[in-house]
Amino acid sequence: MAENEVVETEEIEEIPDIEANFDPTACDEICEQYKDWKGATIPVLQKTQDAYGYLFPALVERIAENMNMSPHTIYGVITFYAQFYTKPRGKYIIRVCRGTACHVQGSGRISEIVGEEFQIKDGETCKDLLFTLEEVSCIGACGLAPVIMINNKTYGNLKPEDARKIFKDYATNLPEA
Amino acid sequence: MRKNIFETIFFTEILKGLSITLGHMFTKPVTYKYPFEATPIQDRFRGVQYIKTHADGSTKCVGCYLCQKVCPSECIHIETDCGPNGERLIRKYELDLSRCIYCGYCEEVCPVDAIHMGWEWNLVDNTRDNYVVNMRVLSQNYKDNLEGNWKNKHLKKKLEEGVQQ
Amino acid sequence: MLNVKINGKEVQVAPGSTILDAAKEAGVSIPVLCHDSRLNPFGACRVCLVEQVGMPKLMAACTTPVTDKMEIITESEKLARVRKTAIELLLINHPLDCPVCYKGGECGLQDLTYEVGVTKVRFDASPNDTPVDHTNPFIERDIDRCVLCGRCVRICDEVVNIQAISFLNRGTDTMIGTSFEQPWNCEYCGQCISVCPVGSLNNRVYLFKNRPWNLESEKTICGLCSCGCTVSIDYECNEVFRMNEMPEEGVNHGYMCAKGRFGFDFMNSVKRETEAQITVGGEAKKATVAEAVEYAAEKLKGLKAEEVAVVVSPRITNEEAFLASKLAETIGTKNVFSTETDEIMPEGAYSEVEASDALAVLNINVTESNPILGLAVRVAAREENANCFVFYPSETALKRVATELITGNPDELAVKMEKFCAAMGGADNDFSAMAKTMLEAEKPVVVFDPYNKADAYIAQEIKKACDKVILVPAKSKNNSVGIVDMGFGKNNPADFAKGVEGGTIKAVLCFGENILVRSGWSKLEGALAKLDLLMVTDPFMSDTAKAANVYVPVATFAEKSGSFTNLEGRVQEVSKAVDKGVSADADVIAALGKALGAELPTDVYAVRKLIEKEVKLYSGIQWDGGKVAYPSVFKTEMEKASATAKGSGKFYLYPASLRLHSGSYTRWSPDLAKVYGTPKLELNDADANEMESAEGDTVKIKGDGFAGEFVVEINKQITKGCVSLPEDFASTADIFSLGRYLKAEISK
Repeated sequence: MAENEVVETEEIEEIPDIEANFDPTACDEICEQYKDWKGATIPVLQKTQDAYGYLFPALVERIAENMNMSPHTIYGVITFYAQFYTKPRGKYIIRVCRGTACHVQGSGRISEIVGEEFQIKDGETCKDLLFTLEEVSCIGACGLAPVIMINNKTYGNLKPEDARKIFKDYATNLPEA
Repeated sequence: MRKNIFETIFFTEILKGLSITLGHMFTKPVTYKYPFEATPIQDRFRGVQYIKTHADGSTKCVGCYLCQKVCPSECIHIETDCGPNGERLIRKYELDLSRCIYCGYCEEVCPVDAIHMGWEWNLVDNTRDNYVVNMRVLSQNYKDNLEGNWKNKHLKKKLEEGVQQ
Repeated sequence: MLNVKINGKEVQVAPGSTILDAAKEAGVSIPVLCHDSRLNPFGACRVCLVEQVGMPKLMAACTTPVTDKMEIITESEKLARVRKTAIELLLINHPLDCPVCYKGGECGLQDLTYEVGVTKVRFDASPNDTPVDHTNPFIERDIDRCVLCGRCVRICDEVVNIQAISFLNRGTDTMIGTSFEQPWNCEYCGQCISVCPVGSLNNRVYLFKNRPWNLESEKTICGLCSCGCTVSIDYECNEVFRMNEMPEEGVNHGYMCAKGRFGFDFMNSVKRETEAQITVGGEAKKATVAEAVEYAAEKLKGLKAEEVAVVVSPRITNEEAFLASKLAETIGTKNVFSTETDEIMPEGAYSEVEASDALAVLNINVTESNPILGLAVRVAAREENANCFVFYPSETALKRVATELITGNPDELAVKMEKFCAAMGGADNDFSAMAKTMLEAEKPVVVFDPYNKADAYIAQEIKKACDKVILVPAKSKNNSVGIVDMGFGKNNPADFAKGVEGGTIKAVLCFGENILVRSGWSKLEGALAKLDLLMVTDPFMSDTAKAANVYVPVATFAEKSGSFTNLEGRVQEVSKAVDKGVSADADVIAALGKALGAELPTDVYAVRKLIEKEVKLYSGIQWDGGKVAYPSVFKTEMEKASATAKGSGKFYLYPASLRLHSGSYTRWSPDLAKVYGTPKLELNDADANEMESAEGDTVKIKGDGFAGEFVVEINKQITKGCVSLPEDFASTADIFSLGRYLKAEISK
């Protein structure tokens, strides 16, 4: 019977608007600034990443064309450095410290809470492109262990319930990033 | 050499000899009435080769040419090709059994455990052409080996005894 | 000079050389894996570590420059231990499938493993099991076998300059790959295969067909384009299994292109004819070569000498071309033709192009038409203080190295080139700066297309303005230069068409040429059918051979000995590798000569003696690599030719060179045909969008006097408002017979 049929829909990854309707103007402007520089790949990539959020194939192609380089070489640079991203990132980057002090103080649990709240794992971004979880080695605030950073704001001496409250707060109020 | 008087009187040496003869009269003979009777084959006997196949019937051989290279009597001839999707194809695999010296090097060199020395040795045929066997025959030999379709009776018996090759 | 002691032996080396160079000088061999003398030092594998006396640390021989009074030890217990460990570390992730790996037997890592005596790897890690990548039609990529020596990435960057592959990720995740894991899409030159020391990159044309230990090699010259590359033909039992580079040898320094590396397979084609054929009254009959020759000779005897024409193809050797000219002499005819003319002869050599500090590439896509000359241009253009100016209707692969890339539709381009030419002569215009660079350069070089009269005129004017300019006319076929030297360039090819159409030529002896796919001759089909005799020799039943009364199958360049003269005018020896049971052109010509009453030698050395005696340019020539000294590039003063596009229409149409094909010969190669089999109309993406046609659609092209239907290929590099079609296809030769630049309308 038609009504009882279970239709399994394949999950199609949604292409963010910035990639789907790629506007190369900003990229062209940045490339124009660095056109005559030698070894300007990294600053160009940094600036375009700032402008577009992440580096997607069409953007890399465009940069390559503008800089008279091969997209493959540029992709090699992108994958070498941890500062470049080829996947969309959230509005809020949650950096959970997994250094020794934080680990002892139970930062693992905080990571888990992020997972519970937003259904993301380390390095992933939730579907509404709001939160990205990054587990980092040490953010240099061991005295505040366990510590997290949300964008540039630091939250220390967290207890699981505090953390949950902070995340809920962000999710409902959506403060300016 | 001093002779024992007892041995001299009672011909013990002769009796000793006779006892060996008599003993053998009651033991199983070591000879076989070939061709009316099959000679036994040792487990590591090297007879006609077979080539193993995968469960789906395709050959395990990848056509690496190592058996052709190692063969001292140069009785293996291989022709291979690349398939449309980059797979290995074996166009021709020929083994001349009349040239083969059954040294077993091919079995030893095979990197994918495809060619093996079988137990079959009954090869009588009318023409030399029939001694040149191809992949189909060699794979069939493997199947026969698994199913116990031996031309030689003794091999059938051996299989019944539970000896697996 | 620096004094260096290697294992106690003193040598003198130039400053800047590495320890490895010094060791080579001293005759000491140091094991290397990631080093290639044609590439910059890299130091990835650490196999070449050596000890310096008085230094606690070991040094990589391939990257460390020597200093004065350096004392190097290359063999010691410590080094043996270190090298062994280095190899062991490489073997951790390397699958040990040598018996089934098709590099097995010629693998650099395998050799090293034996050399340093690694029998067991102490480290425990399971090899990866990544699926083999077959996205590239010619290159199989097994990433698990890769040892990250980086030779493929470096040769693609430093030599080919395409940068189609790169190192991805970092640390233990490093791998060779493409941007966003797209399929490999490159020039298909296969240089990466040639440098891969392991079985990570494999030639798919050769793969799984044979193993290296079964193959015999013959050093010869590739017969597919005018570059004249030294190659080795690897064969077994008269079957060619691969055409391989000879590292660092020949004018090509061991580089090859897609045609040579992947397109040789036509030699083994089952489509090759083995029997001669005589067609009488539309009925084809198999015959022996002797019968065919006899039949042709009988026909010739009934004709006047001036009614016979001899046509040769640039495919045949110098010796064969000479015999063909002798045959024409025997017959008594002056009608000797080829697609080539003797108006323009070679001047510059590869070494001069490579050393040049200012290059102008005039309206030729040199990396596609003459790939090895293209590499030489790239080598020069990559130099820090060298300038390279490229004029071409579309963007070419030289874009990355070019100082300036001047594009535009053919009419605009012609104007720009004329302006450049005028600037070279002292005029003040937009190109004055460029002209100044050329004039001030020490070794300026101009590469141009000798088949384009307008460009040739500009090249001539540039040479007049600046005498130190070295001209490189990039002729197209393997012996384009040689057959002209043997006398087949005296007549204008257009006269042949006139003669055949007008009926003054009644018999044509065609050696190797496929008349019906050549621009200017392609419309002769009807006229050829009316001839009393059309004798064609060709390895294949070509379009022209099908129209022939007498057809004789002949050998390809791998099956005959002789010599070719390449685009720099260098004579190089071709040696016979295999025998396919067909006669060479030389045998057919000699047999025909005999039937007509002339004794012609077929022995290569005997013919060469005759050539040295009768052809002035070749007297005393060194047949193995000697350069012919041509008196001048231009035989006579070139006249200014019009380069404006003919006809009317929205689009400009111009002929494109194809890197995957050389004339109509390589079209019989199944592997090349798989990638490029039918002519495609290349179109800019903006134009395609306007027409709403996608890649693979069929479009109609119509102009004054021609029409056709072609499949679209979208190419961003094509200038807007221009389209290109390849030459030398039966369907496109007709179009380009009308002119080089045409205007056309395109509709869906």
